[in-house]
Amino acid sequence: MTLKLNRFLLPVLLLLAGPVAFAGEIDRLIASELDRQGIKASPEADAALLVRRYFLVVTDRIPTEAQTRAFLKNPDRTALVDSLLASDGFAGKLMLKWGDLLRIKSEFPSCMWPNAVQAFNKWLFEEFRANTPYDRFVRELLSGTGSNFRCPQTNFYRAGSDRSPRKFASDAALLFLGLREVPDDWLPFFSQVKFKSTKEWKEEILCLDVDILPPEHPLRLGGKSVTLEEGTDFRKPFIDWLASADNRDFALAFANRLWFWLMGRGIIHPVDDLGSGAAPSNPELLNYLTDRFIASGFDVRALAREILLSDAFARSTLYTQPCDDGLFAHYIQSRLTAEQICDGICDITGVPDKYSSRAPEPFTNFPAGTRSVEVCDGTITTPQLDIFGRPSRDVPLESGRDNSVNSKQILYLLNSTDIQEKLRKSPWLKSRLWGGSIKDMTDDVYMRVLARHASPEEIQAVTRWYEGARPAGVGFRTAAESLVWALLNTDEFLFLN
Amino acid sequence: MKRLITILLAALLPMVGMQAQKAKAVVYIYLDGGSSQTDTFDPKPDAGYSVTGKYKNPIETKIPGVLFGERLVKLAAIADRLAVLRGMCDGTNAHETGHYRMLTGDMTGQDIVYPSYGAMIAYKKQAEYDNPLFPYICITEASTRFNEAGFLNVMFKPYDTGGKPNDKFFDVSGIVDHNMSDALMESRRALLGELSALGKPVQQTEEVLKAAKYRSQGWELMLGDIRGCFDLNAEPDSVRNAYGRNNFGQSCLAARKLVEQGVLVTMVRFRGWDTHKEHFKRMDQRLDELDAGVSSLILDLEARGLLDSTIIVVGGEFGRTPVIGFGPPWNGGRGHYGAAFSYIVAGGGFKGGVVVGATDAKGEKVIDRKIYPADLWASVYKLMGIDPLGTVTHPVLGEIPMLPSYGREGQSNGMLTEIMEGL
Repeated sequence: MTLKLNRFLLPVLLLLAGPVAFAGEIDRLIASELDRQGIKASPEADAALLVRRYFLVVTDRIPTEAQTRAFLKNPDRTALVDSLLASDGFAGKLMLKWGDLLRIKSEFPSCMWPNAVQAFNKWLFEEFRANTPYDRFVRELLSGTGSNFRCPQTNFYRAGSDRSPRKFASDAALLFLGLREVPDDWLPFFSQVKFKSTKEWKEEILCLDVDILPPEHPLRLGGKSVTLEEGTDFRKPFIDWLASADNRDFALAFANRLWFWLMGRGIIHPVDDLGSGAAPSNPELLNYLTDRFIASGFDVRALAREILLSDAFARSTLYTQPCDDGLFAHYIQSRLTAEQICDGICDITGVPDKYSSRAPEPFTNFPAGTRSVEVCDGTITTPQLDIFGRPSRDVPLESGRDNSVNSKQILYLLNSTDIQEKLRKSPWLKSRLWGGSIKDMTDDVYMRVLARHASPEEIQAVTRWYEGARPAGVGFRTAAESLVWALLNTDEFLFLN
Repeated sequence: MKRLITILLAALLPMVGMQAQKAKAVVYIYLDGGSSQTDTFDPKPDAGYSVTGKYKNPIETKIPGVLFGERLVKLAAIADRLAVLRGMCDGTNAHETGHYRMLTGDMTGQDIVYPSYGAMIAYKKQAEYDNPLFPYICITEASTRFNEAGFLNVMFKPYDTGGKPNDKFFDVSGIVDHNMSDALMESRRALLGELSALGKPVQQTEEVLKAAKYRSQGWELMLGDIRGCFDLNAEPDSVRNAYGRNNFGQSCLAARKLVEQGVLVTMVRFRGWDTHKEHFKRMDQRLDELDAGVSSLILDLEARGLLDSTIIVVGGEFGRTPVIGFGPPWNGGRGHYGAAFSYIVAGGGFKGGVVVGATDAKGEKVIDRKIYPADLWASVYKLMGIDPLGTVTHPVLGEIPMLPSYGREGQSNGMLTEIMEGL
């Protein structure tokens, strides 16, 4: 009976209900699929794991000790999600994600150069902070004209040396519809885009070449035919069609992508190859999310909120019965991203990384304390960000980010000069004395590194270890350093679990 | 078993008439920023002061009739081991593009970022490379001008040693930290082991198992014997002094030790060649360091019987303007120049005592035998036993040519067969 309700009644109900939310609808749809396959969902993760997960997934940061303690005292998921989504952290995360896809990078191969990179990032950040509806965001992103410094979204068309209509159409198809192939009929919509340089270094003016004659035959677009008129912006009919509520594929592609960003796997996976015919792992769920997204007026934060408050998001990553990740019976365990690890280590030790831009000369140093997620330029990096697979922003594909484990990462954590120096220099370790109490120190370090209290067994183990190491000359400070080092090298730190 | 097969193959290959590979390792001395061709391997004493600047008296070399810049005394004395490539060109005056073209050999300008030569060799040799050290190591830090792994997995990027080879201790990030005693490392290892067992459980995915495997390999690197290959203090002072007591010289020494250790590709990134200003002041120092470091490396490898199996490549992302900018703001500097520049190669099957290519009277234009980046790398690949016409697996596009510019009009002018032994 539940099954029937899902398949036949739900669309009808949705149609009647419009934008009204069904509390728990995501979980009902997941549960019905799990029931059908006889799979038992994992239980909810405990509160300490959840607070870490929420901070990392929504804002790319590990929570501070105070933030963890506050949540453990009052584990109100709704309040936490609302505050995180409203924070600059979430806007920053979206800026990072879109920066990867838009290949925002000063040098090769994007060659956007620093001024444009800054302007583009600032524009994106403001859009995300204002929670601009997704359809309007895409319209603005695609329809810019003028200086790439003053109308930053024109930089959409500036990533790389290939500035052909095919490239522009392919980028639009890939980013907003998840399609890797583009029909020839889409190219003329982008045929007027031209660039003029100015006397300002790396400034370019996006202008439309209105002398280009429209094609004589009407163009096929989404099952309709469109006739371009001379002297108009040819992009407009394409953008109007693309970012419209009638174009279900547009909403679906982003709903699926956002689900992937938050849940670790697309309902159709990968999220940027939707034309391959790969089936959704849970079609009803994807339909539901798409409907919700359209009905909300393309409200990204509202969609994220519903996903983040689902039981599916809060599940443990542990499971006993192996099953397809696409069923979302457990939360998907993944390695922390490059930015999460590197910024996390800076936060924990209190020693920030340094970033500088080599172009234009003289080099520009970023202010002390800049986080990797704020750099937002694929050219500016550190060896450790590279080691952990930060995207080089060469391709507009999600696979540009590599979250797999390799041996260089492990060596970095075990014995890199960077880690050892950060531990030695850590102002946090220097300022904390804990009155010489191993117990207090251990609990604090656990709270700071792993966002949880140390168990009595763990405190006991650290105490025992310290007593054994003391005769060999290990003092209290070295013990604290060693404990931070050890926790940074646990799987519990390395993985989002 | 693997060894047995290798021996059998080595014995069989000549019989079936196949070319056995000469070279086993590559050392690329990268002159980051772009080095002047006229001050180094292609001097133009007759072009006047506007080109020569203060380096008016180039010197004779071991190759009859061939001159080197006046500061390269030691290299001139061993020029019979060098092939001097005077016809290099990559057609760009921009660092980031020159860097990409020179390191990948790709000049197609298509929308694909190719892996660098080092990542490519590591990728092509991954099945046979059996060594606890990384196949491609950069001393001390790779440039981040482009993603050297290109479309390949991030693990093919170079491993940066970090540290300063000329310091009292050469710390190699992840492997050697002179501040950490072995006892403390062992003690920490024990602590980590205990706490890992007590922590919150983590699903034992493939990735988690990989992390465990790499951790135990890491301990072997950090506490085992192999780290000794980074210990420059183990070298006699006479050797260290010959290479030059500066970071570049000691980097060359470290490179030799890595070659001995069987590392496939070592890049020594020598920075500071982008001399728009104060060119000659900076060149006085750089050229002396280059001269001592590279000549010592070649002689040292030769003495150890490793030069025949090690390819040395020396050069930057482009050359520099032969005509000096005397006016402000340069006040005696040289700009970027991609139309003509010089490289030297040695060892690993390249013949010595030869000049390939020639430039015009001022060193501004290649007038004989253009050599493109793709030609250089095709030759290196060939000597390394890799078919430059082979393919590489792109994650989306599938099998694509590994060196797409090779053989293309305007991007390639053929392999350097004139200086390759046995070809």
